[in-house]
Amino acid sequence: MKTFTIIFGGTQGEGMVSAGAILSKALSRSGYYTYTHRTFASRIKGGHTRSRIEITPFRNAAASTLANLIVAFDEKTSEVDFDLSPEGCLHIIDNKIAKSSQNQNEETDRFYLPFTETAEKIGNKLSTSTVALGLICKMLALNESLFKEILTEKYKKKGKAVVKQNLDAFEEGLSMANLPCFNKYEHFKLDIVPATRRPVMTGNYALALGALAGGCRFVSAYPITPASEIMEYLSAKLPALGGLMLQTEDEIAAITMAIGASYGGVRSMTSTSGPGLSLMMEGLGLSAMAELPLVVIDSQRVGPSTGLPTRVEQSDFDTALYGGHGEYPSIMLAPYSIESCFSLSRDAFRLADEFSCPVFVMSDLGLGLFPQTVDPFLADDSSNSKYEMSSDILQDGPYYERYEGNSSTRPSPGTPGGIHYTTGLEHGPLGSPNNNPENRIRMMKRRMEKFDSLSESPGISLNKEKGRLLIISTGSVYGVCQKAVRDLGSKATLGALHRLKPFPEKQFSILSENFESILIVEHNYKGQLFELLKKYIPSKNLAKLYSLKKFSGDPFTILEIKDKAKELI
Amino acid sequence: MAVLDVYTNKVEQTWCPGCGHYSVLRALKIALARLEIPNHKAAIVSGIGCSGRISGYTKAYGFHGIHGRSLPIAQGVKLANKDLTVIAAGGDGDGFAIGTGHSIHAIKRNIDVTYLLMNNQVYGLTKGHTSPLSDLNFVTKSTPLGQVENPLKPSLLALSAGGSFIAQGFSGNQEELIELIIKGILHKGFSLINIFSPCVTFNPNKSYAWFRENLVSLKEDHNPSDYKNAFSTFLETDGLFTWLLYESDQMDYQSRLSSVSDIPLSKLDIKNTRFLDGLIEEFV
Repeated sequence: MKTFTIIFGGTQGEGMVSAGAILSKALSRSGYYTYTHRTFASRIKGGHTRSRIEITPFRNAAASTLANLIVAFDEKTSEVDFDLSPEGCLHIIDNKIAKSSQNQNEETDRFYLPFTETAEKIGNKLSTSTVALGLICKMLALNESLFKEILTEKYKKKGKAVVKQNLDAFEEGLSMANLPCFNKYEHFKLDIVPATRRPVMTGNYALALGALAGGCRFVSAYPITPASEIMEYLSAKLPALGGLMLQTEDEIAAITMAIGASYGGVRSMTSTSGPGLSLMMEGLGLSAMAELPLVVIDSQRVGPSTGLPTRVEQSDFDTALYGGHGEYPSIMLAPYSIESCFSLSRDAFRLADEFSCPVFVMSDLGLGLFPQTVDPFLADDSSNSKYEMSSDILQDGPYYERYEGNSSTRPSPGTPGGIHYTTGLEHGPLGSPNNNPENRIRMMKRRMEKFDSLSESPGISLNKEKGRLLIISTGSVYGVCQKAVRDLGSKATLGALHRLKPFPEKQFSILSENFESILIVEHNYKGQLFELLKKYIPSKNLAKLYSLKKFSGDPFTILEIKDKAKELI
Repeated sequence: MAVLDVYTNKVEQTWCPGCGHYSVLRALKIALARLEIPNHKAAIVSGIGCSGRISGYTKAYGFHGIHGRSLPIAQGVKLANKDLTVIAAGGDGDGFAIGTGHSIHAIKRNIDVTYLLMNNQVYGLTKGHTSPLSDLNFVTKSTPLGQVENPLKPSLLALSAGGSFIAQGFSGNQEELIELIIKGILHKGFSLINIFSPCVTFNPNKSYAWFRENLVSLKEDHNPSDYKNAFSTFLETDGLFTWLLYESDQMDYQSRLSSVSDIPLSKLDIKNTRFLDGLIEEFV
């Protein structure tokens, strides 16, 4: 089966996103894989929005640029200059935006249909996009009852009338597909694939699920694009688990409240994007100094300042690596797929607990917001048993030497015999302020060297240890590289950098021997990952390192990566 | 004095001789002792500044956080473990300059934390700078020509922010202060206790004698449940009063959340992750 791409565009707030979601859900329940790239404006109603839904028989985590079918509810969608499929791209346009001179035109594959008019007749203008779903369902030869099932699920909380209106709208769409003008699009019918039900998910939801899997039961956060879904989802799901999400007055309160809760004995986190991360710097230092576990999920967007809040960039790595005053330890994980959003978010809580320090999970807008069909991931049961919060293990004594032994032994308030002091000042074994130089050296080493062991473990995932060209990326870029590597063949190897700190120095050093060249692909101006890798590569291999950067706000195209890679192989 | 021993440690106290904060510390320890709260069940979260030292001078779980952030930290502690007695403490700069946003939101959020505002109307630890609570014309190193901004009025702000317990105390009146702290701890919700705590070094005009002369106690005849009267009392006294100004019996944050279980978050079982299968299925 070939890839088939549908673009669904219109005015924001008029059901475009819902229609895209229903379509990808139906496809994912039928055995197809989908990837949805969304373009949207930083406003609620009005403004152009579109979903590009790519349908594949294989797991896919990036959009290609070709379009087979464009369904337009606004002029912008009908006018956007997409790369059209060589087999021809069909434009179906809501005739409410047709200019009087425009008619059906078979030569240019443009047809005007009464979507809005039909929906208005049914009595629910919001079902306009549902009419189009009926048409698409029929043209692609998809399972009609599956769509009806999903429409019913989706609209049942709005009442029976709304469900019926949408089902009627869907039927109208189905019959539109019988128009003679569509006869020549028989080839749109998708090949039949084995029927498997798969989830459709964004990285943000996978990160939230990972947090729950990692035992997180308290979240304090401040809303921000593109991270809000994480706090929203957790606020809905935590209460049933006895936990809580609290929306704070700002990101400073978000991080410090999470630190307070962590001190109080619950696995805690906050989620944010770049502007929030800037405000969180002092909290990060406190978490590290007081050795209190903390997970910070950063869904990166275009900065600095308000930047392009709805576009893709990976430019917070330096902030997370080097931000804040003084020197403090932290762990930095970077998911590169929906599955790793789940597993790394889960692992972040274990690591935070084990090493008593802040752990970043560096995601990005592309990974966070664009839905894709995934293979169901398993929730493993044994994950949270190793580093339990100590609760009542302590003998009675005058003060507990919290900063003497293992940093993961942390009596939380309420623990008899565990009284100690906690401060952002330099402190001695009991936690009391201490400005003795010898103590300072001991405590700095205790903090800064606590996870030396972790740097020995691999931080780059790859399926081949040796070869011509290694392409390293993370976040949403990985999905694009994955597709490029599929086309490039065996000369290119795909690598995912999933732990930036502590950097997998040993592993990377070996890889730099085993590959002829290494290309780092990232969304920023400075080449932040490139500079990081440059720091760790043995100097004799420095000439092997190449950089590909993009900072326009748009995701990489597969072609851009292939072109660069071809120069190197 | 045996009652104090439970909360007393050997940490050297570095406040200036005569500092009002000694009295706040003693009142806090006596209040906790009279309420028979075991010291391992009390968490004292403080900010940065002279006042911030109070958590280190008390033998309980002490958390000396960052400047202006004692309230978010204290609220996090209480949310994690509602069985704890959580005290937040900080100075007027901590709470009403850098931390003003947190103070207003802590008041409106009404989490069961007792907040001791150790108010000396000056920045002491930076060696004498004006505070948002300093009087007009106050001359400091940063206002050599005198302060030209109006002072903030914490109790008035708290009243308008929907505070459920608003009181004022005075370091020079220990018994009353102890009583107020006990009331604040017993109040289920956020308690603001604005304590006039003289800085003998950098704000000598606001001395014990000055406060004795100018403060009136409302203890004898004031109805703290009358919201309107609380405003007029504040205006009539120009804020120079002690005792409980206002208390309402609205539910605290955690009680309002019908979902909150009896088990503190810190004691939840996190080993079982079988619930995830159902959550993932919702995405199919």
